[in-house]
Amino acid sequence: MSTVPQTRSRPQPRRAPEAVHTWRADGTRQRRRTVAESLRRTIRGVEEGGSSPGPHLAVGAAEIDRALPGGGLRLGCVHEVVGDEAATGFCAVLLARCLRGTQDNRSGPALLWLSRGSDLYAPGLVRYGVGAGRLLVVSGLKRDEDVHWAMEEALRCPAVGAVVAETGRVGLAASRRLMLAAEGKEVLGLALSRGSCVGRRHGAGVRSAFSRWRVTAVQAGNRARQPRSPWEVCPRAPSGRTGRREEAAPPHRSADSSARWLVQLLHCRGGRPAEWLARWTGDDWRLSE
Amino acid sequence: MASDPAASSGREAPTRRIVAAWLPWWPTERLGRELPEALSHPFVTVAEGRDRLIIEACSPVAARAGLGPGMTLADGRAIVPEVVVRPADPAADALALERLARWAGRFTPRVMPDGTDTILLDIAGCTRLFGGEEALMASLRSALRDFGLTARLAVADTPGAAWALARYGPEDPGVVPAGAGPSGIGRALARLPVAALRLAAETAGELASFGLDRIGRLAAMAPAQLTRRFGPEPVRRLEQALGLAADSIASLSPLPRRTAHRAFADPISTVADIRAAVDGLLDDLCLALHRAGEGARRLHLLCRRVDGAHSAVTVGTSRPLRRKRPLGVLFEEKLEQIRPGFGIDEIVLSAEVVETLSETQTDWLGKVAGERHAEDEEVLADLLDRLGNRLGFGRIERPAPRQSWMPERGVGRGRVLRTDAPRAPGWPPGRRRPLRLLSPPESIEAVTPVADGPPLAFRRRGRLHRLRTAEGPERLECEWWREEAPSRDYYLAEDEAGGRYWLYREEGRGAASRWFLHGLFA
Repeated sequence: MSTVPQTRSRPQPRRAPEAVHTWRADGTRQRRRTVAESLRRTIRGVEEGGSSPGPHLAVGAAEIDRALPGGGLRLGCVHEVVGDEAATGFCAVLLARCLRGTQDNRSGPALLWLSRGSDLYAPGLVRYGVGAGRLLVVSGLKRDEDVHWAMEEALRCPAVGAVVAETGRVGLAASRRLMLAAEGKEVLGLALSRGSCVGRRHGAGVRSAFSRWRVTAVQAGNRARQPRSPWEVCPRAPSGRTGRREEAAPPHRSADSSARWLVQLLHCRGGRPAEWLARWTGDDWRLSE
Repeated sequence: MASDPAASSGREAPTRRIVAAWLPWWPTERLGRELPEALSHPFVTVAEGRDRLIIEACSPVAARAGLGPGMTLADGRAIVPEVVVRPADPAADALALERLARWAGRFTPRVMPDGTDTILLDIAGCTRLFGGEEALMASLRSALRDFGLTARLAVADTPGAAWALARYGPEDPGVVPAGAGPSGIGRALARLPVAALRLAAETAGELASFGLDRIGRLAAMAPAQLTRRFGPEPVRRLEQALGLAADSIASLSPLPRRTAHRAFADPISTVADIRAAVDGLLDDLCLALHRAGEGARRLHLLCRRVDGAHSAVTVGTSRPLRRKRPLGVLFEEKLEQIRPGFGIDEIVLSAEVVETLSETQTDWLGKVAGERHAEDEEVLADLLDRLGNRLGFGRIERPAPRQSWMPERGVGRGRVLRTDAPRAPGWPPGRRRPLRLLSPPESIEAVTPVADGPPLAFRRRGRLHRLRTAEGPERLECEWWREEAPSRDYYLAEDEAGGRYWLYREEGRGAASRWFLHGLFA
């Protein structure tokens, strides 16, 4: 399993429009090629939200990164992750990716977790690469306004590398504000929609999120689960036949070292919906079909 | 006077000069401000006694007509049939007295309400601003009269003496000259009844029954005999009144360390005006802090309104700060909470808590020299201040490892700003710990095939979870120096839907073991 080598690609400067005209002998062909290239770039820009391409954060699994425009999660905007504990773990993995390249506990961007309750347990995050001393937790945010306000403030702060906010349903205006706050910064905004506050099928919790993910736990030993067509994204319980066979086995063997997640990309600007069965082994992804 | 700080510092002037203002008709005159017509009639407040209504306080007119506290209302009605009656509200009285004391902060910053009907002001060092002690007291009296309040005033070097003279003194205002010392205060108080020493009524009655009805006679007795017969209270109160024992008055608000204030000829009321004023005040305060080499940790903005009320906001910072811009941002978010009412005529900005803040080397652009992260730390600290002032500083934490085997005690609160965070060893990475920890653990019913074996299934909130795997047990025990808690056997269990749970069995002593759900894994 290979990972994309660079985690954050530098922003590409947009080429000046004068470059279209050249004085070479085969000027016409050169000009056509440049026009086509600039049109392609414009289309990509429109697909990705109408702004210039910014830096990206590789998720770390090559298959997932290939499906994302730009080769990773775009920084400087808000992504939504739907789900329960598995989604929490997915967010933790992404937070840890933001820290890559920093050596010790003292440098590097701050990570902020805005939590509704106070049940986030920091020792559990170590396995996903978020060590002690790196994370700031704001807990007990009961009101939606407080979460939105705090997330907006944190996204604006240049010293913050990533923000995870346990948002509920975010209206169009509020989510636009979040996008504007993050725009142009190298910050990863994650809106974690837990539980049943989000619509079952498409999970539109944050209305204008750049991408929307759903991460659910699936049975570790269940190999029958195959990704179906990308448009059929509603997860189904594992088939009964497999379940019975597993049950027949002695139940108290040791659990698998890591859980298996069904990672679904429900929506992404400039990308296609897709889904993967993924396993986080403690330092890398392992994808299986 | 061993405990007197003035004696130790060798200064002649008294360090304290206490004015006591006793408001004899406080409950009725306070209500009279809301019902001005009531005060021209006999007016009383009543409280429910044992099956009857008892008069709690009466107005001057009612007192002249022969009513008094402690009478039943029926008796009072028999004397004065047209008496106006209102229910007594001690809580509102106390609240209003505190407001009055805060208003009196215009004479001195050290004020406090005392009991139910007195305010004490420490005017040492403030008299100059009002043209002397007499002028200050005359100004206080006339201001109280404008509020419709009758007051008896007295001034002395100790709170006890001022309190006694205000209430029982022969003249108004009662004055014990500054620096009179214990003998001078004793002479001034000699003819007052012992109740003037702030004694309980039964103690005062007991003393009087022995012939010790005047303070002078009490002072002539040997303290040891008094203590043996009447307990420590009379001697302590006497020594406090004479200035022989310590008697502190705690100010309502902490004394500000640095202040800047601005008074307006025309009252201001718009947010833009207040913002401009705060901007100027921050300039002054930051300059004062800079000169003193200090940084503010807590700032208090007090807006005095033309109607005598006030409106205040407080902001805190996570580290000493004297730069204007971040402080301005913190106030910016709170300015809407200020209620200007009919207008604000004075704004006081004070640094209530300050800490030493040394100079920082900057380069020619004004940026902090050193690595880039120093600048990031500043920006992050500004963000945390904003979050903390709105959401509460207690909600922000940086989880840090703590050495305890109990999962709920394994996380401590690290310093939120990590400028000098020690590199503590992290949590051991080999242990499986959940992402979410339930607090308190949720009680569940578990099915175990063997008594001490792993669980096969459990029921949580009425739903049955069949377990595919259960990894464990991992036995965790409480530290021996804590109260004896049962040991726990933890299992990492996965159910058929793929949910992963952290369950534990608590070994009951003698009783059956109980199962709990403590955490959720990803």
